[in-house]
Amino acid sequence: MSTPKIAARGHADLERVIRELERRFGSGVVYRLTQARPKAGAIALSTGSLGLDYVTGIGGVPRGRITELYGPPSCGKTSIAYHLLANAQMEGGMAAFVDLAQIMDGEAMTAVGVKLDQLLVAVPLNSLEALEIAEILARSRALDAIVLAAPAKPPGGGRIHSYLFEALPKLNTALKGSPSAMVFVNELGSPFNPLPFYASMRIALAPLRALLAPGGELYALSTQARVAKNKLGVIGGIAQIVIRANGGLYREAELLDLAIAHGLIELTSLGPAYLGTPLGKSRGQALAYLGQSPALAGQLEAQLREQLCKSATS
Amino acid sequence: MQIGYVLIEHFAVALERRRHPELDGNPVVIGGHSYERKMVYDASAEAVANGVRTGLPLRQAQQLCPNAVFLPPDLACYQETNETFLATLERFSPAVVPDALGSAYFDARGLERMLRVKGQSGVAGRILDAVERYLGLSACIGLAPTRFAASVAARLSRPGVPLAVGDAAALLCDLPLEYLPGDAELYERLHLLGLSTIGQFVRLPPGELMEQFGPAGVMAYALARGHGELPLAPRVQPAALWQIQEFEPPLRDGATLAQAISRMSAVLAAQLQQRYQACQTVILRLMFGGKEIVALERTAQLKEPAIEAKAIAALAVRLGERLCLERVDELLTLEIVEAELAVTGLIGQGGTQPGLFDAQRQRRAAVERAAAEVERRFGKRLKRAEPAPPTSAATASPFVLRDWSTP
Repeated sequence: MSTPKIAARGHADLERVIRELERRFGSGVVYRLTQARPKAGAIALSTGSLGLDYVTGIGGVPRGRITELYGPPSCGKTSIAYHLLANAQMEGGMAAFVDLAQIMDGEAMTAVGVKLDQLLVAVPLNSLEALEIAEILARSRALDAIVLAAPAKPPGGGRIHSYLFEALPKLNTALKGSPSAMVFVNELGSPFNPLPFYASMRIALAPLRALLAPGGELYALSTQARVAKNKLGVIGGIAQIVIRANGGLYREAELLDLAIAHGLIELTSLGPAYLGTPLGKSRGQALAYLGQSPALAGQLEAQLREQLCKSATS
Repeated sequence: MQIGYVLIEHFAVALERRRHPELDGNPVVIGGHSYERKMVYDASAEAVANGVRTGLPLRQAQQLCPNAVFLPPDLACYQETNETFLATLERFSPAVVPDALGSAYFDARGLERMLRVKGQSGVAGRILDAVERYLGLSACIGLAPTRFAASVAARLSRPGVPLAVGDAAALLCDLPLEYLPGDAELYERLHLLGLSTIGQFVRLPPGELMEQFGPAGVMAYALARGHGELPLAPRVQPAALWQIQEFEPPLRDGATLAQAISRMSAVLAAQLQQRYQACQTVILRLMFGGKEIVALERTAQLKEPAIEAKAIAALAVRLGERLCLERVDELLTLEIVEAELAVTGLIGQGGTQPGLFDAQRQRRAAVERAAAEVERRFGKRLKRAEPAPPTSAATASPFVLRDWSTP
């Protein structure tokens, strides 16, 4: 018997065994690592990026758990954190920003939709205070998002790690069962940083390239987000995000790219077209059209989310 | 080395000095004014050097130390600060056993690994830091294999400098007998026998000790040899919280009683919040004066576990009205001399059921409680960003941070 035939028979046997296991023990008892397997009951807070929500497998960062956003400076960590705060408030909830790194930018927050009068801003003096304030806020079980912005070199020097070893288990206990998504925004951590052990999800961000306008000025930054750890779904998922220079995710660009990739927008000789309607002759025109037509963009996003959800659970 | 002992020397005096820094360096005697017929509750080291000791009549204390400052004791403050002190230790060790006010034993096993510090002195250093930060007081710490040796090590150490002892017998053998628990008679008789150190004492035959000194001598002997100590067990949290209010002259109307109940409810709610607990039952006990003092008590269940003063007060006021009506029906007069409000059925706050229609208001209240706790522990660290007023041209940012608690 030739090798391809043996391989095909092996695959068929494997499929049969999987079907038998699922019949006896329920669907999802065995799964491939390439399949997203969202943990039952996991509730997520949207990051604001459709692609990043998709690759996390659960639709965003998990509530009641710790998530770490890390990467080099100017890769979009803070912008995503601001979007998380805005999304938490959009659903009628409250959010807190523990500003240990002293990076709060009211204008950028307002630009992405954060309601500043509803946002608790904590200004701790040192790392220990920041962690304890985060724990107290998590215990209230009333906040939807708590973002802790940690500086590259925290005040207190190397002792931050011993504080983290002490504080993170308590923080995890306080978060358990609460609606708060706890997000640490970190520079590239040192090898002794204990956060990776306690975080349920880690998202590594890396800048890809700067996007320049025809005039040569910088208008956006293309960033790659990789799910480096995920206790609730698969790891390794990669999403490309575009962040505007004046803050905030370039949602139209992401929407257009994903819609083209999933066949919702066709590339015709007249340019990209959605349901037979041409969006413009070029990519730039299509982006402008989506930006000016929020109803159309909303419809496209809903359709895309539905399709992504189907492909995640299939 | 497994047991630690934290001691804040002259706890009451330290608290009064924290409140009145101008008392630093002056001899302080706490117990009341020097003309009162009361006893000394606590005295500073300067007063102790002049012969003042706890339990001495205040008039005698004034004769011994005429330039001392005499203060009445604020027992509620001491008790409350002691609770904060114990809660601070419980952040580090699961087994904390309270001793006198301002002193406690704790289980130090495994803390090095948990806190990621080197050596027992590192553990002690972290605890001293925390006591200093949360209470603003300097403490002494002793670490030793037994409780007694740990307490002696703490007394021998200086504030802020921990003393860790590996061999309890080596520490105790050269110390004078007065470190052993016992009365003056025991020490005197031992001195008459020619004994002056604990090392000489432990070499006595135990059988003869029992005959000569009875159980007190045997207990001192066991402690000196490191025997007969109870294991450290976590302190049991009280199953109820209560507040008592006395009325002088007696209350004669329900409105003032309702105000007193609201005040007591606020204190109880704050205590519940500190313990992250909610209560299920409210008990109100009123003592009525008149020809004879009668105590009446009523208990009621809350519809759902509560942590808010408003919910506790509403139920307690209804109980109070019912008790007052019963009393008026019976005697046609109302004289309330004392009210006691207690909450029981304490459970974790996670057990509270969010309301169906006012969930948003409850969440807002929970955030405000958390903000109040942050402010109580760290000061005004929570802010709210607001657009900068147009007049402040000097500010580069169009937003300014204002305190969260500022309306």
